[in-house]
Amino acid sequence: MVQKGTGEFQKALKLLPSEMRAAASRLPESVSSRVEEFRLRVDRPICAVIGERETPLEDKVYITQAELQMVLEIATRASVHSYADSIRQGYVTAEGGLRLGLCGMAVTEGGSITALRRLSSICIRIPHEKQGCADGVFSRLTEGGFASTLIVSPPGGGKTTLLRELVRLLSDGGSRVSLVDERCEVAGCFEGRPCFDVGAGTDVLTAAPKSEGVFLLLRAMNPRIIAFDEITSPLDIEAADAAANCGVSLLTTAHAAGLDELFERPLYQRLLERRIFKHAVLIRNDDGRRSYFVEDLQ
Amino acid sequence: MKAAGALFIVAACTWYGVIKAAGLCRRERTLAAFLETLRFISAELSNSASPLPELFLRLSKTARPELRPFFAGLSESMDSIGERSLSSLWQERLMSDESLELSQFQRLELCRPGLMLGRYDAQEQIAALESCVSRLEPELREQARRAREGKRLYTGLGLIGGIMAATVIL
Repeated sequence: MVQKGTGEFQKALKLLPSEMRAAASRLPESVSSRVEEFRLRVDRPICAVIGERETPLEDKVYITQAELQMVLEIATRASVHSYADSIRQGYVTAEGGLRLGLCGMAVTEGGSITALRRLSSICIRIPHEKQGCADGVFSRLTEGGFASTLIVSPPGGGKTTLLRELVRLLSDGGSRVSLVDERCEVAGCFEGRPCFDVGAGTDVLTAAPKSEGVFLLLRAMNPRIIAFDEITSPLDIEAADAAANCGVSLLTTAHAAGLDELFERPLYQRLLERRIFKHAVLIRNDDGRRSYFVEDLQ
Repeated sequence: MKAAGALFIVAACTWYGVIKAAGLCRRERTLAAFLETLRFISAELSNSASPLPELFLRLSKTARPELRPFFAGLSESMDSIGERSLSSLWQERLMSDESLELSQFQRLELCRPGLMLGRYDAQEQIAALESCVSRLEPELREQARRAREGKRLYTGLGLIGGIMAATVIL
C-alpha cells in the first residue's frame, strides 16, 4: 500500500503558528504518519487525534484566539473573505486537501448563519491518500462490471479515503467517473487543481451541493459512474435515484456503524428501499488501522 | 561674468525652493493615491472574492506610480504568510518603505487597517479600510492646503533668498 500521509502531515504543520508547529514537529514519524486530526481549542493545548484518541502535544502552551485567527489566515493565504461561503458552512479547505472545521461565534441574519467570528476551535483534518487500500475489495466490486456501491462507516472511519481510492481505480481502469466534491475533501482541489490522484478519467465538480451537482454532471459530462461523499439529506437520495434511473452507477458513502444501524435509520431506509445499491463496503477501524468488508445489498 | 554668476545663484536657490515645494506636492499625491487604493481594495472586497495576494500583485502594476513599489514589495513578501502575519508585513513595509512620501502620522494611520486585512471577514476589513479613509481625508485636505501654500512660500523664499545671496556676494 502506498501511503502518502507524511506529506500531508507536513502540509498540516505549515498551517500552525510557530509554537504549536514546534510541538507537533517533535512527534516521531511512526506517530505523525498516523495523526488524523489536530484539535485546536482556545485556552487549551493543541491535541493530535490518532484513532479515536486525543493526545495533548504540549501541556504548558495554551492556544490563544489570535493564534486560531492566524491559522485561518494561513489556510486562506491571508484572504479569509475569499472563503466566506465555506466559512459560513463551518469549514475551509486548504492547500493539500486539508480541511479545517471551524467553531466560534455565528453571526446570523433571518435565522441563517452569515459569518463565523471569534473562533473558539479549529479541527484540522489530515487526509490520508492510501493508494492500494481498496485492492482487497476492488475485484469483488467490479465483478461483471461495477455496480452501485455504498461505503458505510462511522464518522472518521476512513470513508473518504476509500472513496478516493475507488474513484482512482475505476477511473484509471477506463471508466468515465464524475465526482461531486462538495467540501473539496475527496480530490482536495485547491485553486481548481486536485491535490490527490483521483484518476485520469475523473471530472471533478467542487463546492456544489451534491443534489444539484449530480444533475449538473448528468447533463454536462455524460458519466458512467457518479461518486460523491456522504448521503445526508432526502435531496441527496432524490439525486441518487435520478442518476440510477439514467443508467449511471453510484459510488457514495453513509454514516453508520454497520448495516443494522443503516437499516434502522429512516433516511437510509428510504435509500435502501429503492434498491439502488448492489454492494456495501463496511470499514472496521482498529485503533487507526482499517479493514474493509463487502456485503451484498441485493 | 558677474551677471552670469548672479543669475546662477538666483536660479539655484529658486530651484531648491521648487524642489521643497514639490516634496509637499508628492506627499499630497502619495496620500491621495493611498486613499484611492484603500477605496479600491474596499470595493474589491465587497464586490468580488479576489484573494489579497492577487490583488496586491495587480496593484503593483496598476496602482498610481507612487504606490507601485510598495505593493510590489508587499506582493513578494506574501510567500512568507505562515511565518509572518499580513498585518506585520503591511506594517513593516509601510514604516520602512522610503519611496513613500508620507509623514510618520500618516504611516501610523495607514498601519491600522493592516490589522484586519486578510484575517477577518470582508465586512470587518471594509469597516477598517473605510474608517482609515475617513480619518485620513481631513489630513489629505490639510496636506493639499500645505502643498498649495508651500509651493508659493518655498518658491518665493528660494527666489528672494537667491536674489539676496547674489546681492551680498556680488
